[in-house]
Amino acid sequence: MTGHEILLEMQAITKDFPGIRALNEVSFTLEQGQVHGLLGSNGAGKSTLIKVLGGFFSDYSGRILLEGAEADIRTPRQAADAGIAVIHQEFSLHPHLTVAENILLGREPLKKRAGMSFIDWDQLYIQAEDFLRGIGFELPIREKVEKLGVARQQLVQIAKALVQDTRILVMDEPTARLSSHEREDLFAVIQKLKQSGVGIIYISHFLEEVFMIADQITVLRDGEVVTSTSASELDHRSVVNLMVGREVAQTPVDVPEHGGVPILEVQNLTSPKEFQDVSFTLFKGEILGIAGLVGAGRTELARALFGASNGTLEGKIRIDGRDYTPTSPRAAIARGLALLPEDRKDQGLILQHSVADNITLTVLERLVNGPFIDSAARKERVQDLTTMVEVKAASPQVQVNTLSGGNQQKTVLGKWLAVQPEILILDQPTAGIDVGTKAEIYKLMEELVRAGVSLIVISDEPEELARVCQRVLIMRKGRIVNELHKPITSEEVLAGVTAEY
Amino acid sequence: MRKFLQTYGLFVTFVVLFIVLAIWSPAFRNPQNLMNLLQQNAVNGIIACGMTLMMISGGFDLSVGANAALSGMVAAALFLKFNIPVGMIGGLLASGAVGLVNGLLIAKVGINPFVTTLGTQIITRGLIFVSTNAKPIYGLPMSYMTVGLGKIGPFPVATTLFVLVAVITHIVLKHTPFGQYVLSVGGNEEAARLSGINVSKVKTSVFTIGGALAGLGGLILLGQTITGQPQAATGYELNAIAAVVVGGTSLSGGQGTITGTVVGVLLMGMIANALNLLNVSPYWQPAVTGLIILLAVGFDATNKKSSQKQNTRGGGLLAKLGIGTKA
Repeated sequence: MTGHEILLEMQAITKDFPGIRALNEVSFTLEQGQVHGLLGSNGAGKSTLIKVLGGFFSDYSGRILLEGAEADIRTPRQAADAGIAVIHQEFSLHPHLTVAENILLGREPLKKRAGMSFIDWDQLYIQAEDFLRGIGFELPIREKVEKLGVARQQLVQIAKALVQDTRILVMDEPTARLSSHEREDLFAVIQKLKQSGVGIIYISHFLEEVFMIADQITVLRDGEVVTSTSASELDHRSVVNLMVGREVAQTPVDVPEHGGVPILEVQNLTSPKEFQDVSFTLFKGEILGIAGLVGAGRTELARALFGASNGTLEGKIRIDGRDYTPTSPRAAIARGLALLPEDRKDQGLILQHSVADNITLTVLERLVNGPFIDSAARKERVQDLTTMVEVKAASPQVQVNTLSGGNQQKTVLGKWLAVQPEILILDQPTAGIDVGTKAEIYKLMEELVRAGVSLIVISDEPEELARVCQRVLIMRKGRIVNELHKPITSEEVLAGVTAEY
Repeated sequence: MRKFLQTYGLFVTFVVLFIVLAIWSPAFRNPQNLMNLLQQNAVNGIIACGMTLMMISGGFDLSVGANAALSGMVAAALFLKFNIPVGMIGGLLASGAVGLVNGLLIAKVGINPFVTTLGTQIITRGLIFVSTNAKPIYGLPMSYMTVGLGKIGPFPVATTLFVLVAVITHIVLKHTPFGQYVLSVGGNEEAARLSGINVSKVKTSVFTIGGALAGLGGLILLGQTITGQPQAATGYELNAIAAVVVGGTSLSGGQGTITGTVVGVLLMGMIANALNLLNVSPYWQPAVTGLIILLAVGFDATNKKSSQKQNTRGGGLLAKLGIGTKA
């Protein structure tokens, strides 16, 4: 089945980010014609490893061997020259160009006329057609890429990689946007690629799918390889256990039992194309988790509740027993809702403004004296808030983009605590944040709940939900499919999230 | 030192140049010349204050020149029909209305500011020509010259209006929630919206204010010529944008000050004045102005590059013009 010829060897790859070691002596081997599943929870180091291979970093240590010869891969150019192609979830195609133009971009056949070079369009389409026939893809070469569906765009992306003599193909969540029928087609393509000797690194959160396609599986955890073995020696359960590891004795967040008083009641909430028929109740003083894969509709649900999405909304929402219709973030804030958004840089902060400006932005209208901002009151509020969330900055006047991710996130948190919300929705509250700051944020969540605030936590990290939440809702494809109750383990969350659709 | 220059480079340039010119040229340091300098730049200064707000909010306005002319023409027509106060109010309302339309098209319909204000500029100018048959309006009351060239007590009216507008816009920007919202919308529109700020209201207000201030500029201009000129204030939008940019306001929005703009206006006015006094051909003036803009923006860009990584949202002029923003 496989050629057993070793295509790629990554040896003892170590990569550090400020304050955190993303990869620690990771070794990884890929054979010719092999599909190698790369698994791990978020933050385990999968994407860092792929970025090293793709030439996105120049400052890592370790060796990369291609077919036994040492290769220096420090730039995307070097990676491409070495026959390595990474297909990300977001395609890098030019939507307004045709399939053939995309595939042969940068290597268009030329013809000479009057001493000048012009693109030989006839030749371009002939070449593209021949090439696609050779690899067995059926694509309309003269169609603009934007007219194709996601699945066929993906084929164009793969064809584009192959035309560049790609030997190593990395596929990052290739099926995330495909229907199950399209997925079958993709798997057929992968089989063909295997036979032609291409090595494929396959990353997916759908474990069942990885078992269907992979020959070999490597599991990463906390930047280290936990196992690398033949796929036949593993099953869903054992992989989940490996991904989570021994449950480190993490003290769960210690909050008193909630009194069973509903604060937020959501009934049959539907936003076409985003989520369907979502019903749940959040109790006063509860921490409710929402787990799910990217695209499951968690963020969309949070934004809809906060009045931040433009879509139409059907269903019923009650806050504190009174009907609530989300119209705008402003209206939501007035009803005691706050949302810590998913992406702190794009949605949470005004990066070139100061900590003080950012942290009081939500409450400026409460800090006025007549028509003017009361600067003394503002200063005092800044002092209180930065102390409460423990932002470490030289002064509140420094620009937030000079701060670490953790301190930026604390600033966003502070800005939302400023409005004194009754319900705080936290979307990925600790994404990309070091362990120490994480613990501080959990501590803060505990204090908030003790002060009577109710929390909804959306997270990609099963450990986090298990540690923090009293209940966890599992969302899949826009629906709530399961509800876990305390005591919750990471395995349960992960198993629920990664189950076959 | 580096940090000092980054923050105060413009002010230092201004003061140094002022001192050099004052020592070099007796005509320049003549108090009457300095008063004239202020008066001559009052119109651009007032328009530039409005432009600063619009640019900080992440937009800009190419229609201010046409809008100033509109205000002047409406006022002139109403002077003849009614009286001066009615004319002035009418002019301001007309230009404020154009600003409001700009704001609504940008905020509600979502047309980019370049295209929107280019369109309203052409339409406004076109309507002025249509309604007047491109003929100037003569015979205005001479008493109105006070607004353009006269004094109230010891204070020249135009200069006083400029100072008032600068002080008020400065206070609004720095010391009111609205001003902070303008900065926030320009800095990161999505973050501002999620913070509960009514983004389209902020944008619409800013463009209405910008339009009304252009109208005020047009009223002063009318007071200097005492003739309603259909082609008045042609090209003023670029002068205003130039002064704002030289004054350090970020083209991608979110940053900028009125003090910077005032210094930018005066710096450019002072250079024009000096070239004039030194008998340099007036044809040199556009070239020198262009050079100053490039120097100011270039200095700003190199500073940004060296002091921090490019802002992830960095809009830049190309993006603002709608070039290269397609995914």
